[in-house]
Amino acid sequence: MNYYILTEEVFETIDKDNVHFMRKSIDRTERLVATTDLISDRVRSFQTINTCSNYTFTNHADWVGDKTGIEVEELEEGGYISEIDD
Amino acid sequence: MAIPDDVEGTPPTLDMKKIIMELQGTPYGSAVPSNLTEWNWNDVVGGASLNTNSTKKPTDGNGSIYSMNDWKGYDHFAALSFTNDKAVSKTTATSATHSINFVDTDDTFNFNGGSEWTISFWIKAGWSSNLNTNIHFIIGQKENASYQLSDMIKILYHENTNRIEARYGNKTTSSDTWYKMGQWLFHSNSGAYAAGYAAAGLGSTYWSSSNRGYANSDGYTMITITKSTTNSAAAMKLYWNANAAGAAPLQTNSGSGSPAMSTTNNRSWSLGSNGVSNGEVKAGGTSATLYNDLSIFQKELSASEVTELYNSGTAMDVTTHSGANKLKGYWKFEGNGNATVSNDNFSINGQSQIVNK
Repeated sequence: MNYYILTEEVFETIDKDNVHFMRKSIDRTERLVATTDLISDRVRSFQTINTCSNYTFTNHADWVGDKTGIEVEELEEGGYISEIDD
Repeated sequence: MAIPDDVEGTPPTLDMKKIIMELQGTPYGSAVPSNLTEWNWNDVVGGASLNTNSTKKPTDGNGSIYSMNDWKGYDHFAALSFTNDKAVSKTTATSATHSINFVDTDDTFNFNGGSEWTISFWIKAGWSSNLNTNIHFIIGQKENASYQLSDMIKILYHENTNRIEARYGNKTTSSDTWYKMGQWLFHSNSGAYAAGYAAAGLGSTYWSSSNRGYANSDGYTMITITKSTTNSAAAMKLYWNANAAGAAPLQTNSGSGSPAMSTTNNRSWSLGSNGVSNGEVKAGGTSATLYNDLSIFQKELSASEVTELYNSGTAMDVTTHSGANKLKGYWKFEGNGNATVSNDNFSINGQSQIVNK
């Protein structure tokens, strides 16, 4: 699995069937995704699921509204459904 | 009170002054003091703690104290009247310092994969549309667990996807793990999602303090999850108030159900956060969320029984519910976290507190 932060515009172009997890930023301008695809046009790439999770805790104001972050468990669970989680 | 049988007069006549003396500790047969000349019966009655059914002064509502005839007709053996004035506020502050928690040491709520159960509570959303993560409503898990999933049952809401989730399962090592998970979403009025859409009344906007969907006049919604004896995500059903959303449109059955959930381990239960092992976080953001009238049944309530529990939007005394013989836990939060049913009292810590509902 690959973990990225993408712009809204790039996210619209990727294959949603391969997206396992997606979270919009608070300001709705970026998307944090877990996908099986390799994406070169990205804002940020993470080596592991843990570094991805840790980044959201450090930068929680951009990603969650309760001063925590996105837990590894959430990233593992995925649950993204393209037709309803736009 | 001891009144002698050799009272004077024919027929014998009781002396009211001496009765008062006896009531106040002076023997009936003693001489009446010279200063004992006038008695105000209202003072005597008003100064006594005669009404154990209420803390209110026993008046007729117009400022007059009840007559003795009223007291004679009073049902002194009536059950305490049900009041629902308070709720518990789970602060958005995190950590065990601010948790609402108890440890079940006598296995009252040690459900496993084959157990039927119902968990129901009233909730007034405090989170905003910017929460963008989940808020845990209730979680039970193995005391001092290394993993959240150990002997776990939990109900939470994902604000970022507008889904309520119910999950149970067990994890003993990194590889010995399983869970059953159901998720209901509320903003899509099509296919398998339409039942949730119709039940919640949120429309296409996600659930938050500014969009509470179907709620009573106080802003509370009754959320109920039931589970049958089948060990499967499909065994769980959601009710929003009395509205059935049915089995979850999104189901995950991960693992076989082994290792089984323990029926003997102590479990720690937290209200409004994600449990001790995860640091009692995921408590929402912006404003505190309020919880009230939590009940846990060792039974899968039927749709009609949930309707009875909803009671047209007015929280009822659950001890009078038709399923009360299977009621294992009941917390009213009328002044504290003590249980009305079970001996497991919630400890309400730090900035979490009892508030007017």
